[in-house]
Amino acid sequence: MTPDTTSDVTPAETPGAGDTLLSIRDLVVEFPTGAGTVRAVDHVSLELGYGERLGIVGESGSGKSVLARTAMGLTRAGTARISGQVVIAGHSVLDLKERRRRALWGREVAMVFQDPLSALHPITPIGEQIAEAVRRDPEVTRRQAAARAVELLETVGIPQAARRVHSRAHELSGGMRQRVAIAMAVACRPKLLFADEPTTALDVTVQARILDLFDELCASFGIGLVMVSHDLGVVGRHTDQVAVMYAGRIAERGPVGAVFARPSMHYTSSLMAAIPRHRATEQSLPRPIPGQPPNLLNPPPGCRFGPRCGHASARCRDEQPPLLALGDVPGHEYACWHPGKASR
Amino acid sequence: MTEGKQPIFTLENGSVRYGNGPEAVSDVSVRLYRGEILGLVGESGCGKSTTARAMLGLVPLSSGRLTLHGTPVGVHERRLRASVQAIFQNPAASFNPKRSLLDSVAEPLRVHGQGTRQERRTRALAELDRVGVTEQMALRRPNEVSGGQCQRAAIARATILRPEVLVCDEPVSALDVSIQAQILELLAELRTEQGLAMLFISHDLGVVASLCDRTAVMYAGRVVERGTAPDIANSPRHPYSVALQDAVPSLEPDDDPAPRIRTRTGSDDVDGRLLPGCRFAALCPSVTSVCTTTPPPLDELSPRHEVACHHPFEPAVR
Repeated sequence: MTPDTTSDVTPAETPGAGDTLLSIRDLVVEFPTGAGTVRAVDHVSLELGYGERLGIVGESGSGKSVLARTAMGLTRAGTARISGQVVIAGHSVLDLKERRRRALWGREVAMVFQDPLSALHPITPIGEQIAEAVRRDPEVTRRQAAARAVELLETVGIPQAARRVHSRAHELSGGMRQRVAIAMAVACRPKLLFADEPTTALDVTVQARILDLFDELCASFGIGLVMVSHDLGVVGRHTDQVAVMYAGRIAERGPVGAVFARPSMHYTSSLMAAIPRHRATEQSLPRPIPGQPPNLLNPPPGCRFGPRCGHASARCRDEQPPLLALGDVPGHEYACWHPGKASR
Repeated sequence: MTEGKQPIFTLENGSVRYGNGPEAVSDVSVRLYRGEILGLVGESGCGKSTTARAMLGLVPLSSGRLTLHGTPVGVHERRLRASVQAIFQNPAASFNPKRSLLDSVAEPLRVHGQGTRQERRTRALAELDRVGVTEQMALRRPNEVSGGQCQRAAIARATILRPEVLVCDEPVSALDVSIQAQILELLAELRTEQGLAMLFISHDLGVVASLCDRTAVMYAGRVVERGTAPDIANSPRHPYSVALQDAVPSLEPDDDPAPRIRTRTGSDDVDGRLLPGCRFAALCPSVTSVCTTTPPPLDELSPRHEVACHHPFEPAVR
């Protein structure tokens, strides 16, 4: 037995506003495949403070989910080559042994997935599942955990919680299931919550309530949130910072308002123009982005978006643009040789 | 827009019931006109896909009928089969995984006994080219191409017989936005250039608002509101339509994120189909006693805007 059996989770320094909760440095995630190596995440660095909400947006294959999963320690070293550094509340996630990394889950960091049905046990009553999550803290008794499960169901807005603890997952609607999954995730008051497309499987009216719930949890418990989504509207209204990913790299990032009001990397503005507007004063079709995202087995040497970009020059084809803070607003960074004003 | 024109294909007062359950679709009428796209929006379980399936003859109508060019038509009649084609959400699932896209696209010609093998191949290649699939791509199998390419091929297969009507059930929902916009552009071209009449089903209000000519909003098996797409997008009058729009997070910086309507909560489990009056009554903030007893008929507010509500939403005067 190693000395660290006494405490699997050593409390990090007491958090204060402005402290760094999540720090990702130069993260690279590569998956070897029969056809070659796919670099799903390509030198990504990010930071998030306590109580802050970060949105990661991008299309399929942009690396946004792999980034979130790797940061949480869910990408197995056996299937992927990982380099770089991830620090969550003082713990260097990638350097931890499996058992100590697991000890962080639930208590320091938790995740909410797209499909709550696959995150919940089909037969165990939901109250028991939440109580089990609560008991990741060894000092909590069975009885306390059961009582806490009812409280948590109330916190996430499930009516008649005392009766609902006996329900099974299949008896609940999709929105209710996602609330249960969120209750489990926040059961041990984690400092950081990853949510990977948490509302994509839900109807919009249900989505709106789940997003409001995330906002409340962040505001009242000071939880830091990393929300991965393909939906720019969701991220625009429910996060503070946004990172736009394309082909494994961060194309642009900064405060949500600044990035969406003045998208400067051409992928961001093209993506925004491709979104159909539901309340536009004049009817117009969204503008497609020509071509396809690059094949990550053989990405273009220069700007990853270069081959689809209307403003690309020879430099874009040959040299990768660095991510630089060039915007008027502090923290607004973009990776583009020819940044432009939004064409909208 | 549609005045004085005869619809090509209609569903009249259609209802569908699965087994002994409540009606999945109740008394829904759909009229499709040449060169026009009708959008059908609503949330999961509202009956929009069932309506499409009923119009394709994939589920039987428990009451109501289909008409083609003004005359009733049976779902197995050949003229319906040749005139009405469909595309679905997951294009890869609608192709034979062992055959090339080209073979699958040529298949309808073979079924309808048109041309020699070589002619069918040439026509299929031309049709694929028209929707933006190269010959090199056309020779691949569905799992070897992207979702966008596959949906293009599905459109080619649906249009190769020159149908008059195309039923599209969530055709862009599985696609990334940059690819989605390409497919929407293609569908808009088919409308304009071939005069196709389309039923376009989507849960995405933005997609419907940007592509469609007219919009119908469904809730719990009924059409609750319909009108021109801009009218529905900019001045919805049914409280459900308003709530639905409010729920979509907008990217427009000028939009007020505050909802115009607050639906009543705690009644999410109520199945609207079982209510005797208005099916939205359990959630509606403007509910009165008449709403709980009498189903509101789909009434004309103006010649181009109908709403099924006893107390239509009045937008605040700016």
